Amino acid sequence: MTAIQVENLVKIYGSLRAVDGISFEVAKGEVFGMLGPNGAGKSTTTEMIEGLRKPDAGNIHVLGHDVLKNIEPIKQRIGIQLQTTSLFQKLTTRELVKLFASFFKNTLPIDEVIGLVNLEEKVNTASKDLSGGQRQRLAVAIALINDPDIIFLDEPTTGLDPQARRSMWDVVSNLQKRGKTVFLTTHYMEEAERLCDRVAVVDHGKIIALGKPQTLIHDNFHETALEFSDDERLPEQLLTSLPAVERVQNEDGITTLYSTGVARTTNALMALVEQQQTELRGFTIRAATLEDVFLKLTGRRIRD
Amino acid sequence: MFVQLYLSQWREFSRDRMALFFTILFPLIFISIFGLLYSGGSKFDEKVGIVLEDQGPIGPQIASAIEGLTKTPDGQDPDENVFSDMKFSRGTANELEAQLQNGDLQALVIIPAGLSDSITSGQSASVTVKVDQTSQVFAPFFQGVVDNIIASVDQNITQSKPMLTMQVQSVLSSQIRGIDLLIPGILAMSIMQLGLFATAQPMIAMRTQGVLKRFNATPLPRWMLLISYVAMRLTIGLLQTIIIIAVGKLMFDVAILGNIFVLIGWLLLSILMFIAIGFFVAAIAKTEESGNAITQLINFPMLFLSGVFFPVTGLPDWLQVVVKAFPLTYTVDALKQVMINAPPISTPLVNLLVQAAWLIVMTVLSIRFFKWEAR
Ligand SMILES: Nc1ncnc2c1ncn2[C@@H]1O[C@H](COP(=O)(O)OP(=O)(O)OP(=O)(O)O)[C@@H](O)[C@H]1O
Ligand SMILES: [Mg+2]
Repeated sequence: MTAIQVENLVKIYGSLRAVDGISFEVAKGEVFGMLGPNGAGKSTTTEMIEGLRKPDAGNIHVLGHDVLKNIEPIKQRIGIQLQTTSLFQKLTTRELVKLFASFFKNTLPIDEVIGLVNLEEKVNTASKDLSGGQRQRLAVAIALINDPDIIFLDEPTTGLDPQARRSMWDVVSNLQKRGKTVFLTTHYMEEAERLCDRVAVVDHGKIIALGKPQTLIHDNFHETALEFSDDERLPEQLLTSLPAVERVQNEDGITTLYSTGVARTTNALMALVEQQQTELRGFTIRAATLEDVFLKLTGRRIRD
Repeated sequence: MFVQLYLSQWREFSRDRMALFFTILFPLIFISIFGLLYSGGSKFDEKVGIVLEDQGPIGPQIASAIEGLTKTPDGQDPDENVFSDMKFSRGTANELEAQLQNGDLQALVIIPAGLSDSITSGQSASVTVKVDQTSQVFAPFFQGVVDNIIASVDQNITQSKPMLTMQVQSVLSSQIRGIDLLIPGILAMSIMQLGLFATAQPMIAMRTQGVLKRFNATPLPRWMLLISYVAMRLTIGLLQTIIIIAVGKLMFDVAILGNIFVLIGWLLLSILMFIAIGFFVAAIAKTEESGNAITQLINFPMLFLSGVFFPVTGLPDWLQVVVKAFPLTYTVDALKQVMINAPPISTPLVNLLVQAAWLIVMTVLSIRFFKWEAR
């Protein structure tokens, strides 16, 4: 059964089509991600599904209920973490979780939820005294308090340090193990690749690619990426004519060669560098990622 | 749900030093300062004329009772008799009336001819008191005192039904001091500021910062949030008034002459009214800054013109028209009436109706214009 079903969603702000005809389905138990740059329309889409913003066109069903007609029965069964959550400033972590617990019929124990996001040490700290990352985790704890069937996480790891990010990934993985559906947005492709069963890559309010991360990568690339930055800027036609090079991208001073034969391309590239008497900095060879998919489809990087 | 919401707001409020300062401490500091300034009590040194036309026994009795105000009863500190510096003079109606006109006298008591006869033959009669209305503090005092005297004289003569009346009606304690006059004003002021600062601003902040949005994402019904919000403000308001009255009573022994339940009724009405006004401000203000500006725009004129610090009747006519539109004017008036029996500016019914009207209109407009989301 589908957890979320979205058809032709449109949201217009003035002359901006912030969400421009988005459709997708999320199955129960799936971790579904929306990946896209700033202003792509991720939050707008998410909040329309949550019933917090009214779409200008389109249909949304969550757990079989029409969000636009009757949101109330859904609210008990979903958990929401907004991109920016602001709460009573002077209440402590525990007090806030307890407050939100009182809004729901079925809840998990307060301390269990706080434990899930590793905030045990901060239970008695006022929310204004929490660090940005801790506040983010508190927001996630509150999203989990009603043991929801679907959890919406809008950029849950933005602002977290690497360790906290990894523990947030564990939280998401555990939710999935317990059969929960997770809808998350992110602009970290690594996060999307790691966590999501499927991702929708969005840009300018449109889905430009949708599928399993590995499928998306393989569909777009059978090449390996060679990446470097060179100060002198090697002439592009020379790079393109290197053996086994399929495509060349240059973005923000970083040149990426997509090659079908890493050894041949590397050898030829080194010879070229020698011959041009220049130097390469940060030379790396890596498998293609969602970032490359995005770059290929839009000509831009996700994070600018 | 309600309890948690209420508790949360209480914690948020009680942990906010600024809010605590403005709602609790500020009025107290105010009372203390003014209390110390005024509690010694300024004495009256007004001149009063008495026209005694009555030939019978009752008229002179009244006249000398009024003149006796300057005498301090044995065992009482003359400093505590606010009337001890007053001057009295007698004369004919014509000459004294002229003196009242040109300001040599501040009040005139006319005891008409045939007053004793009327009373003894079982008819009612009245004493006329003319008071220079520019002496704002003195006028009500004096009227009240004369009324008391007449009532007691009357009771001595006619045991059963009262016969003697005074034309200007009003009763005041002869012990009223500046601080007694000020307390109702301070109460009204803090109630207004509760509505403006403690109701409007946190609500606007909750909206602009996205707290309301976060609540919207839960099953919490909006009416529940609003009810707990109002209940919380009502609590603060009552707490505030209790503290002010208690401190006034304990430190300066201020007067509460009227019925305490009537007083509580007025307090509740005006607290609700200002909460509604606060909600209206929250409804029309988009940002915290504009909320601030609107709040101050309402706060200052009302604070200084509605009778908190000096009586409304002293203002120029055109300004009085404006002041009549201020809700605070009616709050101050109602509280002064019930606490110190001050001479009414409006009747209690008018005070009730005007404040109720403000309450209803503001509530309706707030519901109409309130936005739950920032943009
Ligand atoms: N309430 C609003 N009024 C006007 N424009 C808006 C509003 N909300 C969003 N937008 C615009 O719609 C576009 C999409 O915004 P949205 O917040 O959905 O992006 P996003 O993908 O979540 O970006 P980010 O990664 O920065 O969170 C942006 O250009 C934004 O400026
Ligand atoms: Mg966003």
